[in-house]
This record gives sequence, structure tokens and C-alpha cells, in this order.
Amino acid sequence: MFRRLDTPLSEITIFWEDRPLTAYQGELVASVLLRHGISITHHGPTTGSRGPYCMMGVCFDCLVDVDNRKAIQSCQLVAKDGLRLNRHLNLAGTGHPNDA
Amino acid sequence: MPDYDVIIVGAGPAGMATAITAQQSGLSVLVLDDQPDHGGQVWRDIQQNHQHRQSRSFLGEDYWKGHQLAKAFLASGAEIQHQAVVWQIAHPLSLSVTIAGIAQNLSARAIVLATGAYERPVPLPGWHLPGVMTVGGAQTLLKASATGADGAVFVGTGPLFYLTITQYLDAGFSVAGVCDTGAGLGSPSTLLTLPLALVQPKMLMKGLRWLRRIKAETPYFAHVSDIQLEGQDHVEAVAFAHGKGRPKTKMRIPSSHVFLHQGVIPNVNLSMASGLTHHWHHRQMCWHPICDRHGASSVEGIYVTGDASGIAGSGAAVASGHITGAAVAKALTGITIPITALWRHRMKRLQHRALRPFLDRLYAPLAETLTPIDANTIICRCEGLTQAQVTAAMGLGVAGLNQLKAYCRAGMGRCQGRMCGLTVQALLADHHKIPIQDMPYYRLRPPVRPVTLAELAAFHQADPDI
Repeated sequence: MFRRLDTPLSEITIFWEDRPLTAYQGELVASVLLRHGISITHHGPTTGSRGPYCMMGVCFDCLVDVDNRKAIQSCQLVAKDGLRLNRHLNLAGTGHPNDA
Repeated sequence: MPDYDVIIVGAGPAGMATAITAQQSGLSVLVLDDQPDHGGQVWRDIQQNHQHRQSRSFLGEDYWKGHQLAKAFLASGAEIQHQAVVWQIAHPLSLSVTIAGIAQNLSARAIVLATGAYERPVPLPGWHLPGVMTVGGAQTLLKASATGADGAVFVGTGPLFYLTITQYLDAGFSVAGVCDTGAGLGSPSTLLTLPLALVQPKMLMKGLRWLRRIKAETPYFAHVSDIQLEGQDHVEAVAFAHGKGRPKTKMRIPSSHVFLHQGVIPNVNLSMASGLTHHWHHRQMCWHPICDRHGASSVEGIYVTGDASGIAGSGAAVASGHITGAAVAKALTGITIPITALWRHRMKRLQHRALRPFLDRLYAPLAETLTPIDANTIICRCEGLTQAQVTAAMGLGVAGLNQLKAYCRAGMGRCQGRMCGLTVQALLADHHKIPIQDMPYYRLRPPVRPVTLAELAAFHQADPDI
């Protein structure tokens, strides 16, 4: 499991599927999730379970849903207090096939 | 009247250096960078980390060197826009960019692409499993938030590979295994390039020091091949063969964190979609835009600089950036920078490039990652396509990559071929029994990053007639 070496003062809270997670101002969301043992951020019928891979915005495997926005790259997203996140799901039959 | 004299895409070593030199020559400069802060991947979060230098000393001397350039960049007066995603270049010169959810067009007299590099895809069995990341990704977590994982297994080769493991050790993380896929010094062609590399004795010594330390402090395996990442919904172990003996020794290391690296390749999606002519680099096994020594591309007004124009590392990228900045200033205003400064940058670039032929051979990618033979290996991550599925589509009489995309959707997902392009190209060239450079790449088109309808609906257009 990922761990952080330092403990910054600027503690904030973000929510993963309604579960509160401790985060720090300026931390990348993918980093916060990995630190809390959440390595599956995205699931689809053709891809199966996926999580952060490249951490630089290239692979699109760290997708999450944020508030009302869908399929956002969590490695490019900076944590803000109160952010509500959900696993990005591509459910067969509910979306456009291109969305797989 | 264009919005800016020059717009630079990317705020890494090359982008920052270009901005400094162009701004000094009196040009109006805008830098668009898709990351939260400038520094690029190599000097990621340099400004912020520099304030906590003591507690983050594990990042090492080469990292801190970036602070000087970043400071000069901030002081230069160049305008910088973070988290700005450029998705199109149009002719005559303008580009489309999304900033804070709003798309807009910006025009310039010159555009410089300093989009850097990303890690070569490593299509091994199981590389798609959660828990498997790139070595660069692991390093990003270290730089961005002093975060790492105990008990990880590192699989690969290359400067970034050994550097990141060393940083992990310095930071106090335990390492469960290092699987070195490098070919070593054995081949005559590698040895032949060694004398040229001796112009950089410090860098060679640094590499040797890293390797010696890794061998002493981690379970280290050399000549690794036949790699499999095992697990159902998450990686659980790495199985591999190692050693020079025949047959090789089999080994399996349980771990829920595996980091892969097989070198880096230029980030060419934007330059390809903008119509620049590209060339296949035999030794580095990747595409790069054809540019003159100043970075001028085949398209008037568009320059490419740093690793985006061919892999040479951050030292060369800084020098290239300054050289390109000077060339842009000369083209737009006729103002030249002092010849001594220009020669200093040229000499520096030459020194850094002298090391490449040796490094490229020493750290050549493992064959099984270039042309996967395992039927169940995922080739296209976005569409979840296996080697068997892609190969089956090839058997339908497919001539090129674009047709293959229509047949099986490889390269049609969100990453737009970044994760499968080179692999599909290698597989299809093999299928047709032609050299890889004779198999053209995907025809990339804008937008080179996914754009939502909401972004387009909020399109900011200064001229209501358009």
C-alpha cells in the first residue's frame, strides 16, 4: 500500500463513494486514492478493472466521476475540500458503445 | 493581429528554456501546460518541493538543478497558463485550448511544441491490472506528494529506472525485487559507442553507482525475460526468467505493486495531428518530427524542441529550448542572441547527445514488449483488445493501421493510440513481413485530447462573425 512520508498541515477531506478520505491541499486525487488502498478507479465491460497507470495524463486508465462530471483523469485532478468522487463505470447497454 | 508572438505548448525543461530566451528577445510569450505546475515531468513540482528540500532530499541533486531554470522562467515575464489542454493547431497559426472547462482559440506568429516524452508502452501479460504502474508514475507520486509503496517490484531498464529505484531506497521504501531487462554491455555495437559516451564521464559514473547500490540493497535479477504479471482483478505477483544460463532460471515474486519501464518516446500526437512530417528513428524505435537544428519543423511557423523532437534527455532539452527560443526571435524580429551564448547551448546539447547512442543500445527495449507473442496480452488498453483479437483482425486482409482501427477499434479509445500505436504498428509490420518503418502510423486528427460538448458549448470566441 502507498504511504506518504510527510504530514502536511493543510488537511482536507474528500469522499470516495461516500467514504471520507483524508487528503492534503494540492495532492493529486489519484495519489490520495492510492494512499487509501483504492487502486481500482474505473471499470468497464470490455476493459475490466483499471487503475492509475501512467500518472501523467496519457493512458486514461485512472478515470473517476467527480461531482457531476464523468470520466475525469484522477492523476490530473488536484484534491479540493469536499470533492465527491465515484468509480467510473461503463455499464454495458447504458452508454454509447464508444464509451467503453 | 495575433494574440501572442509565440505560444509554447509545454512547460518542461525545453518549454521553460524557450520561453526565457524568447521573452528576453522582446517577444510576447504564452506558455500553455497541461499539468498543475511547471517543471514538466522531470522537474515536476520543483518550486514547491524546493521549499521542503531537507525532507525531500531523496529526490537527488539532478532534480534540484531544475530549480534554477524554473526560477528564471517565473522571473522571465512569460505568461503561463497551467492545466491548459491544447487539442488542435490550425493554419494559419492558431491553436484550440481548453482552460478551466472553457475552449478557446488563440493565435500566434509562431508555435513551439515542447510536449516532451512519455514512457514507452510495456505490453506484457497482465500489464493492464490495477497495481501495475509505470516507473515514471511511481516517481511522479514521489515528487508530487512524497508518496511511495513498500514491497514493490521494478521491472525494466533505462536511466529513469535506476534513478527511481535509487530515490525509493533513499526515501526509505523497501523494494521486493528489481528485474533488470537490459541487455548489458555484451554486444559489440554497444561497446563501439562507449568511447563517444566518455565525453560524459560523470553521468556514466553516476549510472554505475546507481547500479552497484541497487545490486547491494535489493533482490536484483539480471537478464530478465518471459515476464508475466499475475492476478485476477489486481496484480498479485511477477513471474519471470533470469540469468545468462540456458534454460534460464524461473522466479516468482509476490507483490501488489509492480512498476514497469522500457524507456521513453516523444509525445507526437499533437505534432502528427498538425501535419508535421515525421520520421522513424531506427535506434530509438519511435516516430519523431523532422526538424532543422533550430527546431523548425516541416510546417511554416511551427517549431518542435526538447524530447518531443527526439529523445536526448533533460540536459539536452534545456539547451534545445534556448536554441529554439533564439531561432524564433530571429525569425520574428531579426534580433539575434550573442553568438557566444548560442555556441554554449550548442556545445551543451552536443555533449548530452553524445551519450545517447550508447544509452539507446545499453537500454534497448526488451523484444517481448515490442512485439508481444502471448495471445492474452492486452494491446489496446482503452478497448481491452488482446493480442489474439488484434492479430485476428489483421488476418482479414488489413493493409494499414487506419483500416485495422476500423476492423477492431484498436487505437480508437480515449488515449488515441498513445498506449497501443507502436505495438500495433510492430505487429502489422510483422504480419506483412515488412520493416517497421515502412508501416505508416495512425493518421491522427484533432482533437488530440477528448473534448466534451460542454467545453465546446462554452467556446469563447472573440469575433462574433466566426
